[in-house]
Amino acid sequence: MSMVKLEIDGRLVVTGKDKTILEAARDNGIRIPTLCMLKGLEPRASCRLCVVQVEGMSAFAPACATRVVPGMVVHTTNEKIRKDRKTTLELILSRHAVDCHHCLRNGHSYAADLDPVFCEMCFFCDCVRDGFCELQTLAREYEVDELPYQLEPARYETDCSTGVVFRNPNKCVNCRRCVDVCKQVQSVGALGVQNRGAKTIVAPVCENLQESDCVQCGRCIDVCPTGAIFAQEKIDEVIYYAHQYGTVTVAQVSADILGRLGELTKLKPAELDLRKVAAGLKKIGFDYVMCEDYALAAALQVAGKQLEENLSAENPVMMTASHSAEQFVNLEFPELAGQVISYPSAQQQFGELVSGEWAQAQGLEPSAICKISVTQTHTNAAEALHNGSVNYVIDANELYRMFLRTGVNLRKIPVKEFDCFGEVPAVDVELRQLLTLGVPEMTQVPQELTISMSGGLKVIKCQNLGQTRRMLELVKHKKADAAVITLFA
Amino acid sequence: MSKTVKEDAILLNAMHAAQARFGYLTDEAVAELAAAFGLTRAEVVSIATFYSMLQMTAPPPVCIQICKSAPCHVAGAREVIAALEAELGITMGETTADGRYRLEYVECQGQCQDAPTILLNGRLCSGVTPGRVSALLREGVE
Amino acid sequence: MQETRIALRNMGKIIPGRIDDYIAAGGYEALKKARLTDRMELLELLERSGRLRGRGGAAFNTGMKWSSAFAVDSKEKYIICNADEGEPGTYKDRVIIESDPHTVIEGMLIGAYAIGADTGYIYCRGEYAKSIELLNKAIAQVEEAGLGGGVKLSVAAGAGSYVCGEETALLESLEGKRGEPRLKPPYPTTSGFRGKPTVVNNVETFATVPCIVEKGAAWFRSLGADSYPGTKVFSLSGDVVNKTCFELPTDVTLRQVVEDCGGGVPDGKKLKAIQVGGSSCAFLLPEQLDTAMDFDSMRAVDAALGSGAILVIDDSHNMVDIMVAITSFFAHESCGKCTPCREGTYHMAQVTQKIADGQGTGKDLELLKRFVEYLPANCFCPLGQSAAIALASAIKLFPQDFAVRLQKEDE
Repeated sequence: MSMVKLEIDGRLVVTGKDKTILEAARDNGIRIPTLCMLKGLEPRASCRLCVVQVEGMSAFAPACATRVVPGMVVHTTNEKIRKDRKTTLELILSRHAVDCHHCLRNGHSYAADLDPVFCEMCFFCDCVRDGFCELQTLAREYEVDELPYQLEPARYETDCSTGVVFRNPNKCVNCRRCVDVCKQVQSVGALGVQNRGAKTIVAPVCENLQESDCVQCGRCIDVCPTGAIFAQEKIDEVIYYAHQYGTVTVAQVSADILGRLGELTKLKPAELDLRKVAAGLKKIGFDYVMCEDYALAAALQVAGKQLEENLSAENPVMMTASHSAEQFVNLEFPELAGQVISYPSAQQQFGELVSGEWAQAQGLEPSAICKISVTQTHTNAAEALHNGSVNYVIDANELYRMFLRTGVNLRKIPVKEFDCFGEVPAVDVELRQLLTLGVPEMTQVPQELTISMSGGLKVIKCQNLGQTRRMLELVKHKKADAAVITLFA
Repeated sequence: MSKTVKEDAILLNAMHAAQARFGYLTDEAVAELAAAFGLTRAEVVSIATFYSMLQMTAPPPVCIQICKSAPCHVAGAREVIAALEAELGITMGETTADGRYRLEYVECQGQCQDAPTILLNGRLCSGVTPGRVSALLREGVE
Repeated sequence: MQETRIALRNMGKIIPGRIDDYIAAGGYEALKKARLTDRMELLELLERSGRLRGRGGAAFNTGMKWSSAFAVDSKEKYIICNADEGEPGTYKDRVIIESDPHTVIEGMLIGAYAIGADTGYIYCRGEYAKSIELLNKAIAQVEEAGLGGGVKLSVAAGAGSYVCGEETALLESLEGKRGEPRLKPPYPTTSGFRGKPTVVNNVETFATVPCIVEKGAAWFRSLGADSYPGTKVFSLSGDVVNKTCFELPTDVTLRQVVEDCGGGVPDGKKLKAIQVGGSSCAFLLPEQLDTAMDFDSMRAVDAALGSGAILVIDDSHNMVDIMVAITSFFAHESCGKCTPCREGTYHMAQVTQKIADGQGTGKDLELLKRFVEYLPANCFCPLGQSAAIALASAIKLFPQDFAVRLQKEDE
């Protein structure tokens, strides 16, 4: 790739010719704020927080979407840019239900007073993202305190219709990450932009999400920068059951929360031991905390058997543990629905184990047990709601807030070993890779793998619903070239 | 999701046609357009709600739209608006209690030579004066 | 003052849209001549010797635009006519189409030949039902007469959106999406309709092309200003006697247009201000009446020629009330994609209304001044970037109009 020389903030920068100003800056340790930008999707350049001054241009250029040009001279920050970024934030906040700072002790709060990263003082921060909201962080950085406009009262109801993915349009900043992820990555398109100008709103086509094509995969939750879309929280109930005599609380913690938990706590992977999470949960009052290994291995053994039993020369075996992927197939490919084999997720297996063998061994009534699954894979929440496998599903955001509320400091708490169902059964490495998702991908092309079963088989792993759709189109037209296809949302 | 219309069919024209047939873009119209153009219903609604000429709800029997752009304003739109509001007993943006008349703003219609401009159920009425308002409203009902 | 009609040359002389009349008046001779001319020669005629600049408002050299599209190696190319005339005060495109739709089509077909396009669209605003009908009929007549040359033309009806007059938003809308502007670069000439090389030109531009091809560059350059040759169709509105279109050479002065042609301000009132170019442009004062009406001369006095709309305002008006109309226009037409325009135009309209109602304070005026600084630098597209220009001009030139409406004390 040919290289381009340009100047950013007085520094000579050399970068690839197809890079944007933002990429060139980041590669050289120069920070430019962003909000609507999301890695993996085409930049939208609509929030206007990444604006920079390019000499020779009268208007500011959006760094996220402007390609570098040889000899370009860029200023990422100066008085006017900072003033204009602040105005942009003020404008967003002017119609954003600002309830993250309802601290009783201060009356009304100013940026300088509160450190929301670790605020133990007041529990009246109503917003689900207080402390890790991208908008709040930027507003703090640009010292947005007093808004010069009349604030709009909240005018939309929170959409709780799915019981899993909640929408609060009053917090939406119109970044459209959710729309793009739902349409371009997941190919579902349940959310869309409606109306024009100041009436623009991100909404499902009908009254609520439940009546739309939403399959509750929760990707929108993961990309929303504010509290506009979030996973349902039941912190109060969970803590109640943790404390209640007569209820045995059993939790399973999945390793899939590590990525997000690391972002929230700012702990590095080496410092973020899942056993600290176990310690934290025990401190809150959970009676047993299992790690995922046993249940996952048990689930994979079941899946492995199903796979072997169903291998056929003519048709690929289609398998999924994802409730959302199942719903997606029922909706979009009803003719194939009967052919897709469901294998249990680690959560489902956990639920069965606890209420079955484990309860018996412990001499407990299943009805006295409260089962909690701690996982970042949101479809698990939909599955629990639908099948009742566990009582509560907690994602990393909710876990983090729960720990804030109860004074658990993951940085300092000593590790506690997990409780165990038993010795973890061995699972074939190749099968594990095929049958578990890992990090959710935004790419268009499914992963092609080979497994050594039956003398070597070509298998395909669809890591999001867009990949799933494309693969199933091939299956529909008998053009799929794989022995096994796993589907994930 | 494949299209059933020709490759070069223009969605805008189809939306206008659907609105003419159904009166406004009903659920049925949206579903038809979605099927024809290989779009989801959400996409059709997202596109349709962008444009002010496309209606997603049933229009009232008499819809009076008055242009409020600068040339019509200079030509005296304010007095005409006042006359309309007085006659109907509602303010701009409202519908009468019996649901018959709605007063709305509309943007520059490109008829600035005969300002102020009113659209009566979509029909152009130029050079409107406060004195003509009553006659205009009666016309609308017919 | 005598008009010089090029775009409007057939107005009143032929029955609009009747191809036989058009041909009898010399129509489609230029097209025939063009199709026998070398493409590079044709492009050079428009670009260098003719120097035809776009008549939509941006005044980009038409030949240069066509040359860019011509230079791209692609089987699929498009020629598009922007008939989404939405700038308040502008109605010249409607008058051109309603008097002579064939001249627009002839210009498009010449353009299609020049760049190598076999498909063309006329994006006409949905409110112009009569224009759409005339254009559809004219296209059918051209097909029947065998003059199409293999170029397929069709009309797309807009549906009520001013921002779709911006070329990239127009392309999005034509492709069947929300009319939200695209990032530039890439420019439509390299990546336009469906990602293919596309030329988008205004109605008046296309209407002028046949005459230049027929009569040559020297003739065209002999008319009007040196840097912006030819004629311009001006649309007059507001407090002026003759509210109609006039086509005049571009070296006329504003005075000649407003007083000689327009008949000046009626009823003995005094002239207060003139807004040239529509709601997105600045105001001129009576003392500036002798400014020439070409693109560069207007820029030199911090104003713009724009679409050629001329709104005449007498001294019975307070500029704040006119700004209410203008700010609410932009708030309504903002596409909603970028923060500064979506939220900025909304608040700008609210605050201007507040001041107009006598509820505003000095702080509110300061807020408007903030928007004036902020919008041009931060908005995604020309709509937002020019949404506060009229406001800036009004505050600068008529501070007393604002002062008289402000509350005495600051809160």
